[in-house]
Amino acid sequence: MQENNEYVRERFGEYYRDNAEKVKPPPEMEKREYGFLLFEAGVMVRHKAFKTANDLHAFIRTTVPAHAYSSTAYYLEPEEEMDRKGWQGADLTFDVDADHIVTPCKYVHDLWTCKNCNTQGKGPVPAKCPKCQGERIDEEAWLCEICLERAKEEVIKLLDFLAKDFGFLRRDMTVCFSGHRGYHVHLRADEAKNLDSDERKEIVDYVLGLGFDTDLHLDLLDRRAAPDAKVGASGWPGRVARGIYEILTETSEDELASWDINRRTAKTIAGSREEFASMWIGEKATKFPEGVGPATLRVLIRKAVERESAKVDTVVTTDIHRLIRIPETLNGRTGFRAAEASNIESFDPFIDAIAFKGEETVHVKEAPQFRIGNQTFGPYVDKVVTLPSAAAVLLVSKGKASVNGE
Amino acid sequence: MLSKADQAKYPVVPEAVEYVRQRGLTIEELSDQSYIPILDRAQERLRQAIVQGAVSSEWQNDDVEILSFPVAVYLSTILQDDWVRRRFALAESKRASQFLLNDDMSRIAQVASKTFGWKIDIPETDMNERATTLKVSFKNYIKNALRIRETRWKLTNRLLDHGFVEVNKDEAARLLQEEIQSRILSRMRDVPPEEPDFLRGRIEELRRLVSENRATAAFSELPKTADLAAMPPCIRNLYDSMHSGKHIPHIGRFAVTSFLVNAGVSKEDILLLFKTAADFDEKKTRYQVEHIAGARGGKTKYKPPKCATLRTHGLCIAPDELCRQTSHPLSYYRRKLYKAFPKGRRYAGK
Repeated sequence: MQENNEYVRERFGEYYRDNAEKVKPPPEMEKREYGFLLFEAGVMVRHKAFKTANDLHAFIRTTVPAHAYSSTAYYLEPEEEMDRKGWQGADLTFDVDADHIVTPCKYVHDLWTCKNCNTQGKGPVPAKCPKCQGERIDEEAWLCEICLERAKEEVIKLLDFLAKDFGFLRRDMTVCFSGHRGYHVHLRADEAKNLDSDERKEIVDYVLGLGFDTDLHLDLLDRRAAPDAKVGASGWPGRVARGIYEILTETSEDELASWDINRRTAKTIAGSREEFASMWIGEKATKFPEGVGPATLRVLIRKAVERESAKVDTVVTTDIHRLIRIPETLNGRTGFRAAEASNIESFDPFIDAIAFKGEETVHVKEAPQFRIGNQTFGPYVDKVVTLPSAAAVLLVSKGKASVNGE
Repeated sequence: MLSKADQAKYPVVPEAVEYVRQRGLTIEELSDQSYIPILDRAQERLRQAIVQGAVSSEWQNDDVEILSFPVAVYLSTILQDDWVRRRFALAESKRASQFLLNDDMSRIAQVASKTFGWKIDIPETDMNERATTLKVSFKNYIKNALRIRETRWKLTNRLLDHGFVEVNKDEAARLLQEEIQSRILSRMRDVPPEEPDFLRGRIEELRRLVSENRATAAFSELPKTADLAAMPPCIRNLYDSMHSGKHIPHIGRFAVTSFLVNAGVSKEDILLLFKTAADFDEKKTRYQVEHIAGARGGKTKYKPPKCATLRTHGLCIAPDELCRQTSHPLSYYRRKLYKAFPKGRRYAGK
């Protein structure tokens, strides 16, 4: 255990010795609070401040933290206690994490363990252990391509909300890989700086589609008039129209029937898809197909909101004193860089966030298949293998491999 | 430029504030006979706010109307009573909002941008008397709409396009009412001025009205032991989860702890509850509980998050009928306790 920790720390040390100056402090860095989690179990250093990028780089080079954070907030006195810091505003920050997205692959790579009877299972953590009914359950999440790809889709939706609905400029938004299972979006604009926590909450609710009241969007339910909510419309009405349009063109009769829509109606919809879908695009008033009532349309609207919303973490955005990972530092849970993703569409964390060079031989207890660069590894069970250092650090950090052959 | 009559309608606009400033009115001068009509009107504004919750929209003289507003603010500051402050600010803001509703959209836009710095995108139709909608920056929108509870005000249910929310005249006037209300509240200083002799009679009269009109059922104190049956479903659910040692998110812990602190449960009893938690660390937990209880750090006693916040974080579970009538877990608790012990025996647990 100790040796594994030491191994990862050494790799981090080597990396920072040559690359600490690549770490990107946030704008107005002297007004931020900095925090570091050290490799020594659970030691957190907080309330630090740095005047210059050089000071920050030197600190990281000498302390070699497992995790490095800076505040989203701007303070007059960042080194003071929380109540005396003098809050001056904060970036509008979003965290998109695979933890908040249900993906089918979680059943393949996520493992939970009951702390009471040691029963293990795959997939999302159950509320109670199916064996002993215990409610204390440990979770071990893996980072995989499918999950990260889904997280990326959420980021793209979020950026669209921020630009088109909120009118923020793309150049004021920075997207960074978290180094683990998701992405952070930092929005730095005067308009956003002084929003209080409740106001930020309202923005989160908007992108999540939370509180969307179907009955208020009566034009979507109006059977006679063509709705205002055309696929080209702005805001939520347009998003809902596009969502329904996509659902109608993609969803099978069976799937529709699995959503509170009765089989006969599902059949009707599937049978007259084009006619139904055209009402969201065409200019002239269109009638619903016979047998499709407001109840069904409500289900479709709900599903469209679910589909179009951007699944962001609610806590990170509303916490105006939050510490968040500093871009281009290493994530101690994986050894990946929290790399800036200036082009999110083409960003590939398994290529663009790799920090280490060289190779290492490790003993893998159990690991799912994964990719580093263009090479695929695993799955492994109880095997000694020589891997690229990035892969070795990943498995050792995740507790899936050890360096001393134990 | 706003006319004198307009300034009388909207006493918070910069023109009215400037007019008052130029008159250079001092407290001593107010004792002069010639100011009696202004004092009378100021007292009347407050009386109406206290008794009826509304200030009349009729007046005799523009000067008196404009000058009586800051005097009424001054009088209510002397009264040093939060209920009066809020009731006065609400009544005055409703009065101004009513005037806005009967004015042109261009006037509404003018007050919004000149007095409150709203960012407004003038619609293509150009701003004229026939304009029926206004595009308001989402920032100005949410600041004010947040205080209005109906779901139709929620940003999610509005058309938001490139940073602007479209509102009609009624809605613009309603949002400005909130803005005016906060402006008036911010103008009342916390530290009360000295009470000049010549105002004693008026102040006493107002104090008498306050005690007659304030709702008698002020029961801010809660029993010392938490009444499980009176807890709202969200807190009850978190409480049960913790009790059975289930892991709950940080915000959930904060909600339970601050709820219990405010419900009068002792720190020791709260610590006992945490002891069953999966990852209990006595030292850390004690620190957190004491911090929330206001015994450490900023000495602020924290209130639990309101319903809207709990909803955002997915902690609002199985809301019941009473939930629909309240917006804060503590007000749910108070109302349920009140129902259980309407009179006298209310604090059975004490």
